[in-house]
Order: sequence, then C-alpha cells, then structure tokens
Amino acid sequence: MAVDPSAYSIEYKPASSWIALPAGALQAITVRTPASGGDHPLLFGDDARAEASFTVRGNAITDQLRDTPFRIKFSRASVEAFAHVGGLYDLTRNLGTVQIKTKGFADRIARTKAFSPAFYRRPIATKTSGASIEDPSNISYRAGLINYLFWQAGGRPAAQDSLYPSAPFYYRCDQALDRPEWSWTAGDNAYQACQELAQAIGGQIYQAEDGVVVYRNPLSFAGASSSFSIGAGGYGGDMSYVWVAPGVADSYLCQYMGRAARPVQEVYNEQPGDTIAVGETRTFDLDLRLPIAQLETAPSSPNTLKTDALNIAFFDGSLVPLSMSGGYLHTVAITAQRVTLTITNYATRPFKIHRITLRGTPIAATEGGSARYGSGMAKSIPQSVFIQSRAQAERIVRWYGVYLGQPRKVFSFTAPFDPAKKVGDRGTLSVSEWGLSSLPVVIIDRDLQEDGRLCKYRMVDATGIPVASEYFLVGSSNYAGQTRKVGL
Amino acid sequence: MATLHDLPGPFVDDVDVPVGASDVNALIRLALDLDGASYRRMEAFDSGAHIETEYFAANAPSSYYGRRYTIPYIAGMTQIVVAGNFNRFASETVSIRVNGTQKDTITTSGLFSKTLTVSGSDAPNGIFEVDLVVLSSSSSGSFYNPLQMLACYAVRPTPGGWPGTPTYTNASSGASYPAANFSQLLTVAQWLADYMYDLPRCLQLAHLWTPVNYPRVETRPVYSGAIGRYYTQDVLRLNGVAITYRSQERMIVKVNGSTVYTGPTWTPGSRGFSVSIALTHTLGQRASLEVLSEVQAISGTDDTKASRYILFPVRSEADSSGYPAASAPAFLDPFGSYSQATLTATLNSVSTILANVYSRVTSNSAVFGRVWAMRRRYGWRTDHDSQIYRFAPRGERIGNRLTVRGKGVKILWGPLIQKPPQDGNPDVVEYDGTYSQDVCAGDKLETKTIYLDTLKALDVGTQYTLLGDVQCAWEDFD
Repeated sequence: MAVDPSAYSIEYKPASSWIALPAGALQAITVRTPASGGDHPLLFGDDARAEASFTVRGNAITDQLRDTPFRIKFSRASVEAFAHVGGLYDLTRNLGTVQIKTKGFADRIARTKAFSPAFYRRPIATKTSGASIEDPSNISYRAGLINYLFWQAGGRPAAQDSLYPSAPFYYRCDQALDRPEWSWTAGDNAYQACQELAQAIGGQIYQAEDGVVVYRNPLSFAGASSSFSIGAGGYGGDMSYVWVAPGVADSYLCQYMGRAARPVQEVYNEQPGDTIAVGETRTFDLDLRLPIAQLETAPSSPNTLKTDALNIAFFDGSLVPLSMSGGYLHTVAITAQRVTLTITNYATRPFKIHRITLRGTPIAATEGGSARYGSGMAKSIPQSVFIQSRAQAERIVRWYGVYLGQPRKVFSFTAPFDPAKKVGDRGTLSVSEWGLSSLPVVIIDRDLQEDGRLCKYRMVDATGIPVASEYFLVGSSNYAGQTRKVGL
Repeated sequence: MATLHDLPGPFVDDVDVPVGASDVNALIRLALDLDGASYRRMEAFDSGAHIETEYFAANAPSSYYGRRYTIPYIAGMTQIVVAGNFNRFASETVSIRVNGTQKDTITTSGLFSKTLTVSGSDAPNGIFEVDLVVLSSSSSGSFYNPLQMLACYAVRPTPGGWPGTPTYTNASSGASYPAANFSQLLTVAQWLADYMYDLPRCLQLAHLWTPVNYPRVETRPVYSGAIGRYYTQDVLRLNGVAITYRSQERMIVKVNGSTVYTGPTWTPGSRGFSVSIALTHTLGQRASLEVLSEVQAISGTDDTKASRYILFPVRSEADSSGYPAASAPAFLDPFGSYSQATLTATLNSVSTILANVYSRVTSNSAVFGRVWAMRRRYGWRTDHDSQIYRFAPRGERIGNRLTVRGKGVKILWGPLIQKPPQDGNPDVVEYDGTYSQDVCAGDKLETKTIYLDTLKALDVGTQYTLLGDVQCAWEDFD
C-alpha cells in the first residue's frame, strides 16, 4: 500500500499568539481522537478523551506551563485540517529532546466545580449558533445545563468565536432530544456531570479534531450525509472487525425518581456563631441539603435576604441594624444547592452571626419506579438523578435498545491518513473478502501513526442508526405530501 | 395555577429535533384527561337537616340563624347568589348578611333569589360568611325552619386570555409543525386546567347519623336540599346506610315536591342502600330535594331508639351510559412512519378536543362558573353540640390541596370506625377513621392547608371526612 507523505505543523500559545515549532524538529507524533471511550461505539455519555504526544528537538521549545495550548495541523494532497487542539499536561526533557503530551479540554472542564441555578424543563443541551444566548448572566438565558457547564469552564460557542477570540476552548452543542423536569449541578466535576447528563438523556460528548468540544444528540451519530467511500486498496492488511452484539434476549431497565418543587419552607437553619470584625467582609458558602427552585429574598431586592433570615447581634445582645450606618450589609448569590452569603461589618464594633435561616422551594423527590424495553435478562442503565418520570425512562430505554440492542460490527484498519476524514463523518465501506459492499459506516476514532502518514481508523456499521433527515422535525420545514418518521 | 405534570416540550423551531411520538401521545392523553374532567359529578346543595334546626322555630328567640353558609373568597368575586323558598309562619322577615353586614332582606313568602354585591373586604378571613337570620319570629309558629334553600354560591370572576386552539395545515405551501403550535396546545391545556381545577370545591355535609323517628306512625324529614341536573346523562344518586327500629318503615324521595322514589319496606335492622333516580327537570337548573322516612307501622316490641340514616354526600352523576368521552386519535408509535396528512390530522384532533372542552366548560356556568357554599352546622343550645358528630364535611378527593378553616379539626379517611357509645348518651354515635390526622388546633380558629398527596392511601377518588368545628373546607389544586 503506497503511503503519501503528510505535511504537518505544531503550534503552541504561551501568551497571546501562536508560535510554530520548527518542522524539522518534530518527530514521533501520535494523535488520538475518539468519539467514545468504551467497548461500544454508540454508548451514551462515554468518557472519550482526545490526546496527542510528540517529541521535539530540545532547543526548539522552552519548558511550558500546564494547560499551555497546543494545536497540530496536517495537510495531505492540498487538504489541510486540524488534527488536535489541547493543553499541555506532561513534559519530559532529556539531553537532546523533549517529549510533550497534550490532552483535550476534558481535563479543564473536569477541574471546573460549578454550581448552577435549578433549570426547569430545559433540554440538557441547547443548539449553539451564531445567535444563541450562551452567557448565563444574560436575562434571556435559556441554554441547557451542558452549555452552562462548558461556559463555566471557560468555553465559548464555536459559532461565536469571533466574539471570544481568546477563549480557552470552544464548544458546539446539538439540541438534546429530551429533558428532565429539573436539572442542576452542585459543585460536581463538570465533565463528569456532562457525561452523566448525556448518559441519562442520550448523546455523546467528545472533542473534535479542531479542538471544539462537542455534544451531539443520538440523531447526529450517523452524520449528515455520506462524504467518503473506502474500498479495495483503501485499507491495509490489518482490516478486522469486532462483533459488538447484545446478549440473547437482552432488555434494558431504567430507574427513575420524580422531582417536584415543594411549597416555601425552611431549607437551611444553622447557628454559625462567627464573629465579624469591624470593617471585615466575610463570605459563607451555605450548602443546602436539597436543591431549591427559588430562595425567599427581600421583596425589593432579589440578592438580599429578608430581615428575619439573619440573627446578628453585638456582644451585648443588641441587634445589629441592616444599614451602612452602624450596622451591616449583605448580599447573596443563589444557586440550586449553594447560597453564598457575603456580610460586611459597617459598625464600630464587632458582632456575631447567631443564626442563619433560609426559606425556599426545595426540589424534592416524589414517586419513583422503573421502565423496561425488551424482554429477557435486563441490563440496567446507570441510575441518574436526571431521569425523573416514567415517560422519560421509557424513552431512554428505547434509545438504548435502538443504539445498543442491535448487533454491530466495528471495523478497524490502517490507511493513509486523510485529514478530510473526521470523527463523525459518514461514508461507505466495501470489503470484498467479506462480501461487504457499500456498507454505511461512521468514523468513531482516529489514531494517527508514523507522524501522520498513516491513521488507524475505527468505523462502526451505521445500518439502522436513526438520522434526523428521516423524521418530521419541529420547525418551519414543509412536509406536504411526505411520509416520514416520528421520534420517540 | 394548576400544576400539570409530565408535559411534553419545550418546543423549539429548526434545531433538528423530531416531532416525538411521546410528545404527541402526551398531548392526546392531556386532551382526553381534560375532556373527562369537563364532566363533573356535583353534590346536592344542602339546605339543612330539619333535625338540626327544627327546635329553633319552635323555641326560638326573636331572631335566630335560619341558615348559615361559607364560601371561600377568590380575587375578583363581586356577587353572591342566594335562592330558596321562604315559608313564613306569621310576620317574620329574613336578613341576609355577609360577614355580619346586611346585604338584602326577604319580606314575603315564596320563592326568592337574591344577588348580593360583595368584595374582598367582606371576606376578612378569606371566606364569606353568609347568614340568613330570621327576625321577629314567633314561638308559636311551625315546628320547622321556614327557610328551604336551593342555592348559595359566589359567581366566579370571568377569566380572560383564552388563547384559542391552533390549526395544523395540509397546504402544499405550509404543512409544517411549528413550535408555536405545540406551545399553543400546552397553553390551551393549562388554561383549561386552571379553569377547571383552580375552582375551589367546598365539601358538603355528610349525615353521619340522623335520628329521624321514634315509635310513631308518621313521616319525618331526613334531608332537604337541592339537586342539580347539569348534563343530559345526570341522575340522582343516594348512598347510605339505614339502621331502623320500627316494625315497618321506608325511605321516600321527593324532587320538586313530587315523589320520585318509594323505597322497599324495612323491618328492624341495618342495611346499606344505593339508589339511582332519574332527573327530569331543566338542564342547568336545581330542583328541591327531600329525603323522608315514613313509619308505616309500629309494634309494642319495637326498640324505642330512633332509627338512624347515614347519608354520604348526595349527588348527581352519570347514569349507566356514563358521560360521553371524546373520540381519540390513534396514538403514535415511536419511530413509526406516517404520512404528513395523518400526523396533521392527529394534531388537529387534539386541537378539536380541547376546543370542545372549552365550549363545554364555559357554557356550563352552574358547574364551573360558581363556587358553591358549604353549609355550616350550628346550634344555640348545648344539646346541639351533638350536631358536630351528626353532620361532617365529607368529600371525594379530586384535587391535591385541602384548605380548612376551623377549630379542633381532624381529617379521617379509609373505612369509618364507629366508636363505642358514650356513657350517659347512648344515642350519640361517634366515628373515627382507619387513618386520621390533626388539621386545626383545638384552642383557636385557624386556617390550615393540607397537601393531600402527603396522606398515605388518600388517593384521588377516595372519600374523606372532617371532624370538628369546621367553618369552611374546600379542595383545589396547587
């Protein structure tokens, strides 16, 4: 099999500009871009991490800080494309060379511990576009929780990159096909939270070759249209497939627990006993046992509490007035499961905080149950706090049945690297040795080898994977006289 | 606002999200639920058991409560309607008062219907207290209360903002499924749910035991009130238990003064009864209702105890054919393949069902346009304290929130348990419930709210009873 040479470049960004590494100084480049991390390529919410490594001549680069951005670009036959964008996580220098390992932005997102408001009946992800409102501080914000977490981690929508040229990374989201009644995050590992949401509602999160972190819904798994065709001569002698098949008579079982906002009641009551010195500003993170839909605040000021929420007194027992003149002022920042209270002492003497009582509308569990799709030995879908109704559970087990309950071949082979063939692209595969002709396939993994001359591709048989174009879609499209499918 | 659960959506245009089978099926189910809820069994309006007030007329002071009612106030109420029949003994008159303030009078015998002008200031505790006070009575008058009530209700404020139902088009230029149409269906459903479920529904008094007769051949009243006929399928349903001690006695029912039911002759014993009686009066109207006990024969060996009749709320309900149900479109299969015409017709069917529900409920003002009063129990002599055990507010759960204004109130549900008779007063019968929970404290008049979902085994359709001094109790949805 002839191997075409590839041109490549690696750049890094220690400050505000990209710096190219000398081409001749580079060697041993490997890049891995998977869409899913587990055994089954269509698994929802599977942890997939993009990574790359390369070795460079020692004097070509000084030691860099962790998370310093790197990007790798390949070109072949006049087609140029990014193969990886990530951040430094490991640097090993010896006497002549330095090996650099980079990871995608999953790690950065994972280090983000975000507290969100409680979102009511919102898709877990909303479609990003040039006009979508992604900034949570915008009064019209209606984006999904995955969008929120990406933003809190520093990401900005790829379609609006011109507005945020210095963003640490960019993200792109499909509209999720389902939503829980209530969704929120409470300081969890943000990447893990995103994967849990994708697992519960359906979808995958991965980093594309251009560095954009992607949430795609199940209808995007099989790509928009066929863009390549591989046949004899297009794959190496290592062509093989793994037969991924469900067990005989498997079914899928999903537990759910309803969630509902309860009437206003006490949601926090503690006696901190802290002393606030004169002129001091102290911040308290008040963690609530249950998430809240709303917190009771002062009627005229949504970021302050009612006067009876705080019991604050001077040492002689006299109450401290809520005033800049001889008293205290405070503000609250409200999320679903944490209220951050900031108090400033404007009095001329210290005081104590004797009691903090918060009232709100807690989101409490209601009745639970389970749903099953199929018959026979049941495989349980991991429980999630975001599966909150029987109808939702019935939909998710159906999705699992469609995507995981069908036998599929996952093809693996080495071929000349083609930068135009990206993860998520759809095409056809013909392998005469197996009698396969124009089998629809989707690229699920790329592993660049020999400095980008070759690539180990993994492709999944896409037969029967639903695509959006088969359905009646909500919107303005005219379907007069047509026959199509309805979704779940 | 009524909280609807498991609603589909939200819907967003042009984000590559399919029209989902579960979403459309949820809309179909929602429309059918609302269609079913647009037919409502209505309790009879309770004028008052004669046993409760007969002593008043016979031994009355110069003025006394003829009838007492309470109605929960909702913002915007401006009218209360009071209707009935006044059978004067001599020269007495009736003062109709709300929260103690006279709003109108009745000065002549015969049928009356008064519309009182009210406002929120007439309901300082969140309820209207409507009293019909008989003035200048004569103690030589009839043994019975001169007032027979046919109606007492507050007119519901007219709701606005009906959004109208959407239409999905088959036009070659526009056979689409826009988010606005789906959202409009949800808005319409919410409007209808609010209209039907936000209406407070007062509990009516069950007669837990009414001693009705003694060893005499005579006919004695058990119950008087008014029964409505709101749908062509409506019949009168009487449920209860009769514990009789006379050699021969039977139950008679009169509607608009005419006998419509003569029961079988009972010998001494206990038996349950469930009687269905056809209603023929004008649709949308109420007719006077009397339940009587006729003693046909006595014997020297009869027990001298008074026969007792236990009546659970008397009501109008559908006959054996049931209330009609909307014709539902076929549910969609997930991932099923359909023509555009079929999908469009399905969605338009949902629209039509909801439009029909709107038409039905807004034209049935007697059911959905009024907050019917709850009759208060009252006594002016100490031996009338036993009334508290005879008549108890009882309801069949529809909503999820119960509001009670009272003192020393307890809620019972599940099968009622008859307690052993009290020493010294064996005729007084007290009940407890398989399940019970305190509602209002015993030392003060207060208003309490219970969320019925929190009460184990008190499911929708389950009957429950309130014991204690209940001024007003009503159910709705939160």
